[in-house]
Amino acid sequence: MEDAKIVQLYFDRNEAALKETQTKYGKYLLKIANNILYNNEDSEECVNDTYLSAWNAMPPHKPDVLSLFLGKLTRGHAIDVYRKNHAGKRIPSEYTTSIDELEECIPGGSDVEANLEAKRLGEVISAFLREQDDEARNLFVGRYFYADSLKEVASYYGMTDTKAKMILFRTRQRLKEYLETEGFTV
Amino acid sequence: MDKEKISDALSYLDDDIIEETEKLRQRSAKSRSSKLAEFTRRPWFKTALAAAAVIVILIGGGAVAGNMHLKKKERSADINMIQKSALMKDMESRANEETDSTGFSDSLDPQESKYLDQSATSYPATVSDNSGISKGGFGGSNSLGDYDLSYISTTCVVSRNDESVSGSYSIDLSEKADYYLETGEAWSLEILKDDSWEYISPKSEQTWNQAVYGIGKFAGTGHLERTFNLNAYGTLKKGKYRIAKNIYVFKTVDGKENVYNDTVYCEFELND
Repeated sequence: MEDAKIVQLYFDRNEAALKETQTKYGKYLLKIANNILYNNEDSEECVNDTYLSAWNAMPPHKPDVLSLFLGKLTRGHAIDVYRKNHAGKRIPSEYTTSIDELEECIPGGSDVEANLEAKRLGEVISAFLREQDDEARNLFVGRYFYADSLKEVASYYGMTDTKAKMILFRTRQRLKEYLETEGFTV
Repeated sequence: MDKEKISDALSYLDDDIIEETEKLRQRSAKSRSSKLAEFTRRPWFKTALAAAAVIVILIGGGAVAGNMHLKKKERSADINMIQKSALMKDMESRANEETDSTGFSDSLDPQESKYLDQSATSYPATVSDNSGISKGGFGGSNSLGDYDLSYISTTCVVSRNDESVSGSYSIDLSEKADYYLETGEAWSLEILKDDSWEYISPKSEQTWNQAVYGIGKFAGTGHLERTFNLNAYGTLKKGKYRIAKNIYVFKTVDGKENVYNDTVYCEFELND
């Protein structure tokens, strides 16, 4: 079913919306959650929470891109569960690994934290990504937003894992320099 | 900055940036699953699997026919056969499932999936020979099952002036058609690299919609024609390109019963 029709079902308060969403996007959302949680049961719960959130949000919200809207909801729920279940513990998910990689080039220190809200940092990273070529940008988002494995992001462009790793490394280095030129000490 | 802030910051990435990657993930997933399906559908693959099964059966049979000293080998062969059988089922299942670890599925609607394995049918194409363009035309891949593709004809004409690449495509339904077509807004530009089509991302959603446009719906005998202009991409490099455009087939004019979605491609090559 087309996205517009699924969204209309939500607006009609028709519960078929949930079934159609599950049919079309269930596996996609489960993959996003599982990249973060590395646990099928928790991931399935997150996906169910996503359906509930979508039901509550639409209407009035009318997403331009349904998959993106649902994906962001799932990612948010999964990160919440991750923090709740694994406070202080390190679990071997792609999310853990990817955030570890990124931590090296993101500014630290209490001053920065005070001045730089997450939203502002997201905007700065977006601006940085717009200056990158397609490969670098998509590998970055795939690895650090979707928490896809190195092998998976490499497959976006049919390249080797080693090449993807190198591109990601150089992108992180450039991000570090970019943040410094923006006045942030990394 | 702690890790929570980092992941929170990533949640605020601009939507169009995330969407671009999401589309790429989807394409990548589909490409991987179709390659797997294609691989397992090749005659030599099936022959090899069948040969492997025969060998296992022969080994097993030999063991059964042998003396008691071969009992251990017999058991081993039986286990092998079970494992091979499971492997074959797994491979067939993976080939049919058309889904990979990324979670995207080629068959978004169960109603569509039954048509996926049917033989390919090509759309008629019209070729233009403008300066710098070696060929242009539409091509399609999937069968529409019970719905005869000969009722649909598509034409694509591409031209090039200085740095501008533009053209038009049209889709026609013959008067014999008893179903309805609609074209959505979705389209994409792809370039051929290393024998595979690579998605070219737009600079922004706005230019995406402006660069190629066209949406329409018609039923029975009909002709839909739309133009496109690729100036939004700046100078396109030498190479083979294609524009992918979705068409939707409905059984009722109000579009309530969607029979199939398909993609038609307008291919062209820039020689210099």
